[in-house]
Amino acid sequence: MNIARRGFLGTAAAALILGFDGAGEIVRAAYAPDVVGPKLFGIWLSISPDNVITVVSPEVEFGQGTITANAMLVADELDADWNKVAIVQSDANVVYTNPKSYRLSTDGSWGMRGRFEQMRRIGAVTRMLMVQAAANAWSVAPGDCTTSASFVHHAGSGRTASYGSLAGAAAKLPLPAPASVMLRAPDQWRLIGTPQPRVDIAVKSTGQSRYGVDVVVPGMLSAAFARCPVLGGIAKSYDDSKIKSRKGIRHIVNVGYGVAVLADDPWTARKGVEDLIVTWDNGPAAQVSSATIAHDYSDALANTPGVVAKKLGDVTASGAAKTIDVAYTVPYLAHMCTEPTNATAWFHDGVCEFWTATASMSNVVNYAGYLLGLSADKIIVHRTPFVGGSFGLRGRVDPELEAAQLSAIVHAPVQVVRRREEDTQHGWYRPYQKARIIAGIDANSEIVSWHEKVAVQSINGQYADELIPFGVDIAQVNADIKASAAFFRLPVDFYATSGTPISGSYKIPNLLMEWVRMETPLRPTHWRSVGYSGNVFMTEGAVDELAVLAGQDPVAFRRAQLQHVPRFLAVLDALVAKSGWPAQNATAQGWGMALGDGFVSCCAAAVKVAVKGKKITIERVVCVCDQGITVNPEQTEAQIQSGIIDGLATALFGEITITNGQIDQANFNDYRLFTLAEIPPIEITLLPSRLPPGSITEIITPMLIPALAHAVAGATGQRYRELPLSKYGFDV
Amino acid sequence: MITLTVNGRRHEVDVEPDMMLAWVLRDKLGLRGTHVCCGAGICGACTVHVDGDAMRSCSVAVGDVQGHQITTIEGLGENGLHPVQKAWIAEDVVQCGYCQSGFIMAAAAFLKATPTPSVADIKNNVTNICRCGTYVRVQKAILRAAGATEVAL
Repeated sequence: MNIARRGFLGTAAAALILGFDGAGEIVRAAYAPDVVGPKLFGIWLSISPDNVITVVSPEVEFGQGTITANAMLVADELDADWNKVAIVQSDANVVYTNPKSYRLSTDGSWGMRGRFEQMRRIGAVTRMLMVQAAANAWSVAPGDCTTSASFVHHAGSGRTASYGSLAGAAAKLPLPAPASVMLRAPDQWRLIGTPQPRVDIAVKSTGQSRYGVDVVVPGMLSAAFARCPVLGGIAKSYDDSKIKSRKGIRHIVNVGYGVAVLADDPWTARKGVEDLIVTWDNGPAAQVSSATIAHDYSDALANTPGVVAKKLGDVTASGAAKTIDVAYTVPYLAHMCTEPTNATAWFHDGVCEFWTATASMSNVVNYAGYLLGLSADKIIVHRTPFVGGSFGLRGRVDPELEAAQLSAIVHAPVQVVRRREEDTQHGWYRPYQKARIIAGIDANSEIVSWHEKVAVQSINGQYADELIPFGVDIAQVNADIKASAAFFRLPVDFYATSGTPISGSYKIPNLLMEWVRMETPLRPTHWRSVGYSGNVFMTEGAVDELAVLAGQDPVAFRRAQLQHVPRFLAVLDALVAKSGWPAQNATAQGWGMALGDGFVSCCAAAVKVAVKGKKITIERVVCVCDQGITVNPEQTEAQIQSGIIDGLATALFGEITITNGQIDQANFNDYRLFTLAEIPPIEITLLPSRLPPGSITEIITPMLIPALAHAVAGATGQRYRELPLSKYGFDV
Repeated sequence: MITLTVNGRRHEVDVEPDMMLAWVLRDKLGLRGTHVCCGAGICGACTVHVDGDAMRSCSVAVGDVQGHQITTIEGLGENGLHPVQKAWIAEDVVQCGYCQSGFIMAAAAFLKATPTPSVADIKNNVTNICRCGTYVRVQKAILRAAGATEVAL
């Protein structure tokens, strides 16, 4: 198993190349020399004479393990020799569009959800061609042939042939009718469901994996930016007297949103920025601080009518016996991807080429098109083999646009690599959010009413804000985006309420959900689980408070509300069994829990803490998940560990604040993550399931945030309705 | 002109002595396995060895390491894989991978100084940051590389 080099396609090394359309229907098979160009169809698979099978992954690999899983899906149906399967990244051809998300992006946990059937069909069709080619050569019936480890066998005659030797003949066969392609039953799977090491483990353990920052294009210049400390500020003038004659500095360009120093190498550019003196026009954001934002959001909750996202029954006549009226707040969060955001672009001969670790080829193509006035076929995206983390950020394309603009100005390839501080202070953020929840239980302790009003920015409404600094007509862009998909025309941004009772499994007869759209200078975007990351904390917090109101154990209370969802009952039963959840006084002993469903997965987590003063010791973390069919348990476990650690650190420390228009945090010293010292004992249970695959990278984190907050609430006897917990002085 | 010994090879590089080592390794010597993440010596993604000790190369001036033996991830396993790399592969540690060269270099230097560490030793001394949260497997891999019989958190 290995990561193939780019550029295998169209070389004489490939004997068979298979193209499929976006639905996974084969549209063309070709002998390698016959291939005219990759735009005819999407090349998904090739087989070389030495029997190496190369699978094309439309998803990028930013740690989540999807390229390994994609290859497993193909190899399982193909009966491929797993040790001789290689993987490459696809190009930006639209046929690679995810069949469920309709984007050519790696986001929204759409990888396995979108590819599970498609990739297996590609394997199945290829196997049929191999069998037919062998049967023809041997004059036997295809039904008498079997396959294993990239060979076709005929038991009757004892003959055997490698896929590689059959590939040339297979390329000339008529394609099987779509209806004749049968996928294996689960009990016939050989790879799916087995723990497989990730295919990139060796290159990433030896320093050979390459990212966007590692791109070298001959003749490229390195760009670094001075940016206005105040968000949205503009460079009025600059003094470059200290650097303009410095060796290695080639251009100094005022692009309004910043001043770029372009040099022969990144260090010279970076040092140049340090010695550049810029006079800024701070603009209106200088009036904005976290305190003014908090005030505005509270004011909006009190005084601005919300847009109704959902209404059931009548919350004013629910017959509730007891009610709570609580306000919850979550902060802005940063992504803190280890690879600083970066891109390399070269605008030449009427086309723009990108070399980038993007998670969204769709956004690169579309937004660069707006910026440069180019049609999609004039934009070429070369993806780097790996991406140093995304967590929702790498679908945003600021560095791509900056590099493209500079390349057009200086007529050379340009690489933009941001400093850590720029990423933290001039990035995109999980939006700050406040909600007021008035909820009630009846005499039987059932939740009978829920009136929630949430104030938060619209991610979908600011989906292309990276174009604003370039002076692009953003109103037109937004109109185009709205026209592109029904998703964007909804009166309420989906993300504002995902993870609240309107998307989850609690069945509340009287429900009113309202949204007030807010605007601030901080740009909102996707952050691991998007709306769930804040809303589950708020929803589960209120449910936990209702359990207290009912005088019930938090697990027992939730179990009673979820009698209609067998999947949840199984998850809760497993959580109780695995954690040894105490039947009596669990919360007073420092246990807290939360649950949720989303991205087609279902998850619950329990956390046990001991609190001394402000020092929290996380003694145990128990997580149970039903994610549907698990393609690769080895990577699923890794993703659950990742999601747990992210959730705990976020609950404790995660916070971006702003003072007079400037982001207060800059680096890992003031935006704290966990290190080895903070990692608690973690226990994970994946429930066996035959449901279609759901998310695992996103759905865990939002459960751990409230689970920890509830554990601390139980241990201290006090509720914490605002994050992070460090706000209250807590540390680990 | 600065004279550097990296992975046993001498190099002459035409840079200022205050240039930080990570950029020299990456952009002047083409050793791109060393990655810059925080740029401020906080996270350890750029960790290399200087005379066998772990140092965060984003914050080490190249002029200060002239005449010293520098080892990067590319030179860690002199004859094939270093035991830490073997353990990393056996425990399937990595996720995005960007910080992992530095993590491996930090672990290798730590184990040289502390060949039979306790879990507490590891937690207190290996302070690199991994945004993906690979820590559970990192700890297992360090114990495995140390030859610990019980590989558990």
